[in-house]
Amino acid sequence: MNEKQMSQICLIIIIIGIVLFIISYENEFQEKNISELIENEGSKGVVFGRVQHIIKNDSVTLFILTDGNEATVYHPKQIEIAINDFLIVHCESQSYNGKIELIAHRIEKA
Amino acid sequence: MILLFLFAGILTGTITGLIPGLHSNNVAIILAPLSFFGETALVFVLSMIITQSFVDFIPAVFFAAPETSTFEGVLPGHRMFLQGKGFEAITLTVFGGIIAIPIGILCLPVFNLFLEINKDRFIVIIPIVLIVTIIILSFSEKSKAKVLLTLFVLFASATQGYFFTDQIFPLIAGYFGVATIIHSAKNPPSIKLQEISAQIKNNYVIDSLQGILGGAIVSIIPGIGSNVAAAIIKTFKQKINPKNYLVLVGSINTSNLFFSFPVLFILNKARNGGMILLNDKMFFTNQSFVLGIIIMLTSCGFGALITLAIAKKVSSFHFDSKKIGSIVIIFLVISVFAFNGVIGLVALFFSTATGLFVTIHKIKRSSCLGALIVPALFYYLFILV
Repeated sequence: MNEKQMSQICLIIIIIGIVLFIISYENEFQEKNISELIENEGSKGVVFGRVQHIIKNDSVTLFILTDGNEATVYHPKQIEIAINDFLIVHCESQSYNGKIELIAHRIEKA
Repeated sequence: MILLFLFAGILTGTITGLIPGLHSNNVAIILAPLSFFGETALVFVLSMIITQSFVDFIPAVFFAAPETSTFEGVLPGHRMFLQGKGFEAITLTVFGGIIAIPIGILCLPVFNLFLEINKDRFIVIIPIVLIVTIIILSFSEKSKAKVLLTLFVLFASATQGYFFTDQIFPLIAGYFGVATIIHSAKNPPSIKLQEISAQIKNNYVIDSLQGILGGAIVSIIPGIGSNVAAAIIKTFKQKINPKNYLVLVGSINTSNLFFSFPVLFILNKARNGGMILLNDKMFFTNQSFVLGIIIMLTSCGFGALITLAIAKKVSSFHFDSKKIGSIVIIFLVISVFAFNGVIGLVALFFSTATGLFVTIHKIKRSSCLGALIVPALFYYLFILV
């Protein structure tokens, strides 16, 4: 094998990788509402809602988000939010003490 | 959108690979506080580290400027460069890398199972392997005087490894980079015109497979890097052709990074800066695991092509060994100061002195690996006791 044949192998690897990517990839976070996430434990999505109550905002942030339905949102960092703020939350639903909570990966103010 | 992060990762990996001292770990530290998360972080980090694992060899081979992940390839690679075969040396490391990921993917279930079952045994086996390596390193010299000198270098480098904790780059730059350049300054080597062609023999696949095994084992075991694994394999094999060795080093380097991802996913153990960042930035699902493997496969193709293209371009330059030597030394000193501070410069001074001692007395350069092997040995002995 010479370096030209090796370059061709590299191109084949790239094409295989991109084809596999196109076939297998689906966007991790699609717009959903809170009830959809709560009903399917382990599902991910982007929810839009209002901060109803802040339970804790120290080293971690724990608050209740509502979009008609409500859910407890846990974020492993302290963030600046206030009651009645509108937020866009990228999150995943997980069970904690028998109750479904939303684990926030990212929180943005709307 | 996600493809943008793939190309950004490849570009960053190319830059970090070309600049000795700048590692993807540095980029990971910069990215840690940013709101950069999930799949975008996964795609960026994996494409960056895989691309870097290929490009890394360019400064090592052409300028004798070692990285913490490529120093074992400096001497054989740079020697080939002096003979006008720098491009071939790079092609061999690239070959090791492009075999590593596709074969690594095919072997992933078996490797994971094997490593999962044997991970406790490694804790016992590794110190034995390290002790045997030290013994072989020490007593492979023919004369008694050289054995004594090797023992002295092992002791000196081990002391430096202990004293200068977290200063691996300055130590490696001194042993394998600055010392070589200073020593060759008296009689600067004539650099032959670079040939831009390479021939890959079928038997190199065996070296690559050995590299995959070494990389997989190293990825699960803390305290040992891919270069130490390469040095151990070289020590046990005694005589290995430099070309086969370059394939081996290329394969270990890439497969070590490749397997560190499943190790993080399955065992939740991060073995490098990129994986520590991912551990912090995302929740792992089966979908993200598959995405990660596909991204590493794609980046491997891009990284290999970019490396070959840059190597071809660099090969067409006219090299003046005196000028290159001075520029590389200045660059290494600046890099060490920028990334490791004053203590790094002190470590560089001592490691250069040790490297020069080794070169002048013509003993094996791998005895300087005492700086990595002995602290790793004590780490394992401490766990066992």
